Amino acid sequence: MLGLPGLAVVVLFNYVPLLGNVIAFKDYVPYVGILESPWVGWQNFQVIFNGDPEFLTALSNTLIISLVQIAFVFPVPIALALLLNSLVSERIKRVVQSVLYLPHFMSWVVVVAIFQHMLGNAGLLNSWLRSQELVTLPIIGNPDLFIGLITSQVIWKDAGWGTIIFLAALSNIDVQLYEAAAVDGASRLRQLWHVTLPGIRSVIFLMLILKLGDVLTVGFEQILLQQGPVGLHASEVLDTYVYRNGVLSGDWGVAAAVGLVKGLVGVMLVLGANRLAHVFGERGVYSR
Amino acid sequence: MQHPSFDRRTFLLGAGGALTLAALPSCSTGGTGSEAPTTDNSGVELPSYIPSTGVKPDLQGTPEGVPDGFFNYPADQHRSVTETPGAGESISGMAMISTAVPPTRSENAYWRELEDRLGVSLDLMMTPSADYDQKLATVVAGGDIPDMVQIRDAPDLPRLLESQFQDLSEYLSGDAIQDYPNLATLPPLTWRGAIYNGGIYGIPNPRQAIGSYVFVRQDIFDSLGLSTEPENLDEFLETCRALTNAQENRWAMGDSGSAAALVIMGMLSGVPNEWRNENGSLTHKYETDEFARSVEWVTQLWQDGLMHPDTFASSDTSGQWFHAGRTGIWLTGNGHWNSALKNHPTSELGLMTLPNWDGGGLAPWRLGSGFFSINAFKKAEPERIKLLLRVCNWLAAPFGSEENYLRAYGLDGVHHTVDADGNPTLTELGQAELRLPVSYLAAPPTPLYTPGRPDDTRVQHAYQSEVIPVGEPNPVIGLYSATDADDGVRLKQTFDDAVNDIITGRATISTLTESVDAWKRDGGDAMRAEYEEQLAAYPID
Repeated sequence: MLGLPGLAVVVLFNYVPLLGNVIAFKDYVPYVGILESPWVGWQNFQVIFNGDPEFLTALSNTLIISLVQIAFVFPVPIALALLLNSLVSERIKRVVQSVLYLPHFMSWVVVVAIFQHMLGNAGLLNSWLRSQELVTLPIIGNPDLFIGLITSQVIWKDAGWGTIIFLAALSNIDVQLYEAAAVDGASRLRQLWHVTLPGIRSVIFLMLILKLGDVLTVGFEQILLQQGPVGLHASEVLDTYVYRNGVLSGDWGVAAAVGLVKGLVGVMLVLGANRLAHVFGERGVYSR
Repeated sequence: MQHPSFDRRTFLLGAGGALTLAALPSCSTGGTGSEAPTTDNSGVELPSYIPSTGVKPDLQGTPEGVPDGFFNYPADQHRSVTETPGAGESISGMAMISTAVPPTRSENAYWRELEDRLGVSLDLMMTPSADYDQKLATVVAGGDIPDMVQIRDAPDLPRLLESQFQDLSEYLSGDAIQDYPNLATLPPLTWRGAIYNGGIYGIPNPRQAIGSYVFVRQDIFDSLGLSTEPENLDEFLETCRALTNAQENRWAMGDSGSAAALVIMGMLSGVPNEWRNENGSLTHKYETDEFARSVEWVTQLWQDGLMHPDTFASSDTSGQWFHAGRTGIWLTGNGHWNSALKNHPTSELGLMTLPNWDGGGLAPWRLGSGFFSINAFKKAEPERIKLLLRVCNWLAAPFGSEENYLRAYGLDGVHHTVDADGNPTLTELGQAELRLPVSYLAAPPTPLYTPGRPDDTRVQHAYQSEVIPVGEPNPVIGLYSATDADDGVRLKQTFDDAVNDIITGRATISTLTESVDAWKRDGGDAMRAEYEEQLAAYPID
């Protein structure tokens, strides 16, 4: 009974807007409204099923960037958390933590501008190289380095923030386990392998599953802001594709269609990964 | 910051004009209740053009588009409106603002004085220009539309106008505009931007026909002994090389992306202003050999390191580069001259003429669209519309009139001070309070006038007098292509991206043909057919 207002809010703000997805099947015109816009069936999904080359480029870039980021970005907060956890002095730990958290609160515009001013072709590094008559390093604007660049930006910005959950998990590990391991003569490395990692394993799995749900979503603002120098071929991802085709050209139906498919794929990945986790005896996102 | 924004303008112009229902694929399903725009543009009669004769300029303009030039503000200011437009009504408006917002009405003497003179209470919603399009979409979707709305661009604009805004043809077409003599001073080219669905859907905010200037840093040119009148392509490139000194962080030019460089090199090459019209058959600039050549030249500029190395970084800092002396040549809106004097008094400005690449005189100049945005009126009773038109008529009072002086400089002694020659200078208070963006609701054509700097007027008038005679307008202004409106932006972006690949060396020039073919196949040919059909029905004179 007391939960009713909460339920109403959830329904109103989380489920009712889902109905808006119906515009994926319409030639939606904002000024005439959802109901009045003509029904076009699966026409908006043509770009996906017919394999529009731009769409395929965007899809493959998205998947590559996602996989690279799962491989290189995902473990960083875990490693950082372990390092932080091994700090003995509480004060140093807190200072280091604060320093690591800070970049998370900067907007992407600022982060991109900072990188631009440091590494840009007329930035600090290259201006110095030029003044020393050395060869300049075109880091920004080199399509081959683009994925590396945005991945390092993500690490710089969000790795510290990502440690929070792992630190919480680490603090939940029973200290007695370490004591017992130490009594048994386990080295620090052994303790890490046999006590610490198993202790946070379920959290790692949980985070990984949630991350998989986002596999088709990679930093929209971050990438949109940096497409100019490297061109669309290297940098177009699904979100920027939707922005360009849906929002900029007013083709809301196609944008909604791609968004809908993205959402469905995300849900399937989460459910699939969750099932896999259950097979391995983990709790996953929820237990059965 | 003023910026040429070619994409948008082109898009807006493409969207301007008639909309035939059959041309909209989405409507062919029919029976869905979306009101169909019903007429094409052939029935539109533009408002008569009755230039203001109130003051005599120091430098005479031309009908082709060179504006009048003034050394001092005219001493005898005439009244252009005899009756107060309103009788205490309350009207609302919405416009963009590119500065900090002005003080609110209760603390803004200028605002209150305007209301007093207009005889109305004027509520103005002000939105930063960067967020304006989103704000407009929200306001329209919310259904609570102000009486007057500045519109630059919106998806599906013809249908938006048709469903929510007033067709003003019966009030403004032909000689009907004589009821609003100040609005009749807007040149015909300007009105083309307000034509949609076979009607006049707003008051255009006029711009000088020249559109942009090729600005140069005269101080840098002088110190290097360079001429601002190169006589052929080689001399132009020589100038670029002389300007560039990477060790000193200085390059010839630099913009956000390659658009500006392509326009400059395009003019040298003879690229048409979007479309070339030969007896009713259109050729898009992408399809011309002149365009391919200009891409090669820009590629050369980039590969030779003559463009700012961060040219392709997405944020537009070209104005900062220019005023910091990082670049020497900058193509931007001509209105930048006066704002630069205010914001960057240390940069000495000059203007560069562009030659034909092979040395045969001046290159054809790419004229602007003649307008910036339109002020559309929410559908209302005739009495209400006439009130709004009277208000706009007052705001469009021509240069040299008492009303114009008040609108542009506020009250003497409060908002501005006057020098010995009668030229007003805004006080600090004036600069703050006059940020009220009423000029987007209605404004007269702007002459060349820089308070207290007669030489600036001379330089610009001379430049425009040279360039306007070789000016080329965009032949599809005021025409409508559904394909251009639906897909134009996306096609252009795809194409631009391919061109940037060539310029930056990620692709070879030979790929340009493929991109042009793809552009034609994906919509370019359809645009051409639609524009040609309209051009035949509605020739531009």
